[in-house]
Amino acid sequence: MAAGLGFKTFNTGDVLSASDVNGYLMQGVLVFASTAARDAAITAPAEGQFAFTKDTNSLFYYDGAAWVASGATGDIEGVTAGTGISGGGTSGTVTVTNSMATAIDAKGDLIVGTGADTFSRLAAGTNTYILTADSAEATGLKWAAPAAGGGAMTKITSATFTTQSSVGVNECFSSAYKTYYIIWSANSSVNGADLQFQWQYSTSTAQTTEYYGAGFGYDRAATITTWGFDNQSAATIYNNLTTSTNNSSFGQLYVQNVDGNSETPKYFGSGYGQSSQQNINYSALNNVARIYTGFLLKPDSGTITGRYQVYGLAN
Amino acid sequence: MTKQQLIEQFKLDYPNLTKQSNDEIITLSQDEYEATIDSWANAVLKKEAAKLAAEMARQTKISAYEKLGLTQAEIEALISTPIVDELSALA
Repeated sequence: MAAGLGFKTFNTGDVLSASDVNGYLMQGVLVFASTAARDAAITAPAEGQFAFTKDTNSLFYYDGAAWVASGATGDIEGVTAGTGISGGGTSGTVTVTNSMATAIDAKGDLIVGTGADTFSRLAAGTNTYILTADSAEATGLKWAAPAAGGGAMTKITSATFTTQSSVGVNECFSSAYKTYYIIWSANSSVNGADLQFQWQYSTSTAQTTEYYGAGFGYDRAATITTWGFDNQSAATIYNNLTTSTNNSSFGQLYVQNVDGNSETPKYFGSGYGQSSQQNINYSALNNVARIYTGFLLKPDSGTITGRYQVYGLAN
Repeated sequence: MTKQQLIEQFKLDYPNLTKQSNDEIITLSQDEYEATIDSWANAVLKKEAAKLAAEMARQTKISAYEKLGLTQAEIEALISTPIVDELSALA
């Protein structure tokens, strides 16, 4: 086939030459049953020549070296899912899905590599646990209690609370520490309310028996106030919360023996009592030794507003 | 106030109660609500009884001191002055 000669307007009476036929008239789109039929018929295609094959309804052009499928049939012939992707297809609307995203089932989930081009879900660990490398694990990682550092005090949790009948601090104690430091701040909706303390176990079950302890406050008028409790349902940290929102009472607690050994859990602490600016001290034990996982603050009447911070002290 | 009056007053002041569990705020169930209000009323009555007992003990002391012939100023000093103050006065 001769190369295309472009476009020419023929006039009445013109005589068509072989060159005219090959160069002009034969330069349309030639239709064949298949690419095999096309190649058999056109053994020497010219650059720029078009051919249509009916078996696949495809349009081709010759680029001077080979037949090339024209863009009219679509450049993308298929979508194949690669690593970390699922779905794909060769026709119609194609959906591809991020397999890593669908592996996530819950808050805190991590997607972790398990080998070349493979991954797995690692669920969130226990509160306060940290992510640790461990080659024995399939993922090479695990959640573990933080190792106690030399002399370190590690913040475990903190929160504020507003007009609550009780405030539970769950899962703040673990085997990582033997001693804890708690800072509290509170005022009450009832003037003179007690701030009470209970241990919690099995996540959020309050220990409601066998509290023994005492406290005292020494105020600006040099008056001493004392309080004691003997086999009660809760310990009393302070016996005179005020309603002053701008001047809350606050204090600290040192806690130990919450790990279920033979010793019973105890706290000791001191603080500031807003009522008459008291210097307060308090201590208590509970007579039931078990693994305690947290604690609960509550007023003996009304609601409390304030905050708490919990720290673990290195063993 | 009687316990029932205290309960009614608390229920007026606190028609709903919540508790906090870590960062989660939870409304008390009806049983929890009733038990909490009941414990509040008991706590108030217990404190009032303790105050009454303390005042009665104070009056008993005053009567005894009066029988000993002490003046009111002397009695007041004996009853209200903490030991710590006496020690600091000596220092």
